[in-house]
This record gives sequence, C-alpha cells and structure tokens, in this order.
Amino acid sequence: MKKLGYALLPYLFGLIILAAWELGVRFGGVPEYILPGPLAVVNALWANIGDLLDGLAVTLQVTIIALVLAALTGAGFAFLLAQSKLTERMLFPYAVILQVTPIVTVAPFVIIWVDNIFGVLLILAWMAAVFPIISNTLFGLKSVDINLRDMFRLYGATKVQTTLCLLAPSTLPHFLSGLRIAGGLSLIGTVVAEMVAGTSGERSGLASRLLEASYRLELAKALACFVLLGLTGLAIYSALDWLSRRLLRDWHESAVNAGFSDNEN
Amino acid sequence: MQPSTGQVNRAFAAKPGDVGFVFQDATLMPWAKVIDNVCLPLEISGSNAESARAKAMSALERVGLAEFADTYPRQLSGGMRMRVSIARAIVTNPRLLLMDEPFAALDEFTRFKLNNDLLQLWQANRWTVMFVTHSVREAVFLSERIVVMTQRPGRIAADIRVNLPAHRDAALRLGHVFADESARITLALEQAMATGDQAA
Repeated sequence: MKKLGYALLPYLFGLIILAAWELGVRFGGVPEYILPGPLAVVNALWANIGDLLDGLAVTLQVTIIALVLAALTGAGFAFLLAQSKLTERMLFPYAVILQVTPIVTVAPFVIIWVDNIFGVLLILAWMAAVFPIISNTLFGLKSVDINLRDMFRLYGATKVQTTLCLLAPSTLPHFLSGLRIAGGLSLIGTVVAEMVAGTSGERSGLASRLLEASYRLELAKALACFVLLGLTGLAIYSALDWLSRRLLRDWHESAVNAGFSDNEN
Repeated sequence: MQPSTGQVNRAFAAKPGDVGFVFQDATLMPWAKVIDNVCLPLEISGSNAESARAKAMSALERVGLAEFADTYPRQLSGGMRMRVSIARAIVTNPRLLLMDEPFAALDEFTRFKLNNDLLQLWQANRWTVMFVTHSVREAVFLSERIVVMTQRPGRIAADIRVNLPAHRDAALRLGHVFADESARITLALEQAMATGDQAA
C-alpha cells in the first residue's frame, strides 16, 4: 500500500497543480484567450483530435526520418573521424560549428535553397539531432579497451573484423546514449523548423498548427498542441530508452543494473 | 618496435594461432558470451563456425568451465574469467603460450588451483609456455627452467634448471624439496636485485 502511494506520488502532485490551475482560472476570472483552464484544453484536444493527429503524423514523420538519418550519418561521420588523429583534427571543428549554430539562423537559407518544405524540415531537424550522435559515438570509438585491441591485432584480425566484432559492440552503449539525446533534439528541431518555415495548409505539422492557433487567440487549441508535443517527446525518449535497455541488457552495467534502483526503495 | 640487438629464432613459421596469449587481465569481450569469447581466435582466422564452437567447447571443458559456456563474463568470478582467458589462448592449439602474470590479481587459493590446472594442461599438451611472474613459488612449481631478470634495465641475471620431477602435482608444494628449490631461486633473485642496484 505504501509502495503504491509512493508510485502515485508524482501523479498526485500533477493533479493538485492542475486542480489549482482550473480553480484559479475559473474563480479568478481569467479570460480564455489569456489562459484557458485544463478542462478547456482537454475539450479543445477532443474537439480537434482528428486535425491535431494529422498534424502530429507530419511532425512525427519528419522527426523519425531525421533521427534515422542523423543516426546513420552521425555514426558514419564519427567512424571517419576516429580513423586517425589527422581526420579528427581536420573535421571535428566543423561538427562543433554545426552544433553551436542555432538552426533558426540557418533556416532562412535552407528555405531559399530547398524548395521542398518537407526537405527543409528534414534538414533542419537533422542538423539539431546529429551532433550528440557524432560526439558520443566518437567518444565510444576512442574508449575501446586497449588490451582487447591488442588481442585482435595479435590474432591477425582484419580491419573489417575488428570493426564488426570489436569497435561496433564496444561503441554501441555510447551510440545509444547519443541516440537518446538526439531523439528529443530531433523533435525540437522539427518544431523549430515548422515554426520558422511557417508551413500551412493540409500537410502542416503540429507546431505550425500551434502557432496558427495562438495567432487566432485559440489558446486552448494551442495548449492542446503543446500537450501533444510534450507527450510525443516523452514517447520518443521512452522508446529509445527501451531500445537501449533491450540491446544492452545482457552485458552492459547501465541496462543490467537498471532493475535494482526500483527494488531498493 | 625495433630491437636494439639480438634475434628471435622460432622452430616454426608462426601464423596467428600458433601463439596463444594470456594477459594480466582476462581481457574478455563483455558483450560476448563465454563460448563466443573463446571462439574469437578461430573466428578471426576464418574457420567454420560449427567446428570453432566444438573446439571452444572442448577448450572450456579442459579448463573446467563447460557449463558456463552461455554466461556472460560479468557473471563470473575473477578466477573463472582467467580460466576463460586460458581457454581462449589454447583453443587454437598453440605451439607457444605466452602468459604475462596471468594470476597476479588472484587470491592465493585461486592461484594455487589455477597453477595446478595449468600444470595438468601442460602435462597433457606439452606446449612451450613462457610465463612471467613475480612469485617465486609459482615459478618453481610450474617451470622446468627459470630465467631471472634484473629490474631496469631488464637483463638476464640467471638461467636456472629446476631440479624437480617433470611430473608434479599439488602435493609437491608441501614437501621440503620444493621448499629447497624455492630457497635456491629466491637467493638467485636477491643476487640479481643486488647487481641491478649496483648498475643503477
């Protein structure tokens, strides 16, 4: 019973905040175009559910494709960087520049150069997501056990064998850790790109609908978009976290010991 | 690395697998099951998976870990990991086994046990083993020939034949013959240290 209460604690806290919000709005006389209460948001969500899910589908599509592209290119780029000190010295600064440049500032150029709006969103989301994958994978490639490396060399392993049987599995935990960060960033990148690119019409994503609703002072609908985007971010993180545990559960401490922290309480 | 002087003569043309290695740490791949760790040298040399598995299984049997084939290294104790490492070194049926302080990190009991096992393995297979150790008792118990080296620079200070029967077992450690041989080697080692100090 005590354990159940403990598990429900965060939800209880959330519920109290929501109740306070609803009551405050209702009895404080706040107009709905300034701040709608949570019930109004739920109503707006329900009333527009088909429309919003269409938007979510577009946003999710861009986010996932950008994430997959970031995973492939990021891991490949990291592998290229790890080939020698020279390539790393030559190329890594450009990866950093890619990371520290706010995508909002790049967006106008991408919009001019690429006339397909889906392509624009994809490029901007990819830009946001790729760096943590490069950085973490590179770190993993550099942390490969030196003794194991020696052993592979002593037994005359080819470069391909060393890559597949040593570098890839040894780097996997770091890559996955980068992927988990990149999942959230890919969504953020997509949202920012949608807002800057100002897509509208039928094939517009959830973020552009949020913007549109806020322009029209339909704040309940805008907040409904916001809630959906938040839940999407949570779902992406959970999915990647699950994937990571699934792939590492046999041998990596991070996944093997994951069950203990709950039992200790 | 370029040698400053000297040469290495081998009685055989070495291909990978003719020489087995055991390092100070077990150096196992944590993501691979015990059996896959032992298979690795065969896999690298491109032998077929099924025969590699059979050979690995037999190597694991020889170090007494057959029933742990499907576990991961993290589930094993230090001594067991070392056995896996030895199984991996002998799976290619090497002609020369290079062991660099393989049991240094283990407790005395485990060390004795692994010494006994290694001796048995050697008696069955008769590879040439080059074994680096800091333990005089381990050296005396295992060796036919002991080369004592000085500290920096590492020079050969003594080359001693061990006067013990070729066939040995754990009981040998308890007898006075073993104690006498240990004393003799200890003395040689102390002399080597002394000359090393003078040189420095």
